[in-house]
Amino acid sequence: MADALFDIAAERLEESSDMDRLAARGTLRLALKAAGLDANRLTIPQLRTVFEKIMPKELEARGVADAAASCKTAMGAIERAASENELAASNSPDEIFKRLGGS
Amino acid sequence: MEQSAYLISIAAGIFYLIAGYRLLRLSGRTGERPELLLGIYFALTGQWYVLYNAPDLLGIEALSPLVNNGIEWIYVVGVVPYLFFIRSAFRPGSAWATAVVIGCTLCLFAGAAVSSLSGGYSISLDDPAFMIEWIGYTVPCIWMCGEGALSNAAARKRVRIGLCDPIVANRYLLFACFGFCQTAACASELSWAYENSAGGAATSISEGLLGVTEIASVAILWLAFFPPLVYRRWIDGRAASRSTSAEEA
Repeated sequence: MADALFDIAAERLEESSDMDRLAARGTLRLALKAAGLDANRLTIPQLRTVFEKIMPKELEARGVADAAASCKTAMGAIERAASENELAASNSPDEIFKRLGGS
Repeated sequence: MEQSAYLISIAAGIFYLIAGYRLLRLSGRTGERPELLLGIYFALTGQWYVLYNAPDLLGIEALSPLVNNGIEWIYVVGVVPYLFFIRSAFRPGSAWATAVVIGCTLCLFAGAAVSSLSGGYSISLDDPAFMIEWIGYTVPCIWMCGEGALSNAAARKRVRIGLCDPIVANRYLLFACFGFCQTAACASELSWAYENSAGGAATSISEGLLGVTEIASVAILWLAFFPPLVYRRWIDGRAASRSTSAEEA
């Protein structure tokens, strides 16, 4: 399911930024790596943070005009397309290790 | 072994039993599998520690081979849910992780079965049953150490952008340290096996290493499962000062 979420996010990024498919997927992978996230276990809140805090700088570095607006458009499209594909939060490693300490 | 070494192992076993009980209660409340698997591991490992060391501490001579084998099987069965826990937490759906789980389980069961049928194994490099079983319970310790370290590195990045609680990132590191201590304990057991196979007895170095790793393991798990308020505050404060200095830079 999270694989599908990555694909959806890459497609929406491609549409909103005028990057080609390869560049959009590569940029998304780099942003996820900078955020310490696994492309196979993504959640919508994680992607939202990436598109707010990391992706604008990544797009600016690649010469995308109005990077912030592109990110906002892409994230809106991702949320509409992927709301049913989100990985159950209780299965993420962070949630598991949070529960283990009772916090 | 010295009486103090038996005492340390039994104390560690009691701590594992408490941790296991707490995790099993947690799984009862949440209905989630990871805490159930880890709870079973600690509950069975704790039982093994107590049952394996108590007769020596109490000065009971030799237990019957049937009882000894039964005690050994408790440990062997206990490691299997630990393997499944690591897989389900870090590598769900991964083919190589499934292969590691199957391989280690086969090693554990083959080693225990051969030793049961041949009247029990000796901790010696000359005993294939011991060596096969040793691989089966050492690999998960190394695996936990590696996954914990990798997850900690990634979680520290997430902490900076507010996607991960600092205490959770630290818990990955604690589990990596636990895996490292358990690996060191397994290594000390191997040095003990080397000494036995060379015709000598366990030296104070391998016994000492075993004792230190047990104490360190319990201390680490205490911080992971029962983090005191002062420790939580220290972790939060450190994360806050790191993100402040990162923003300034």
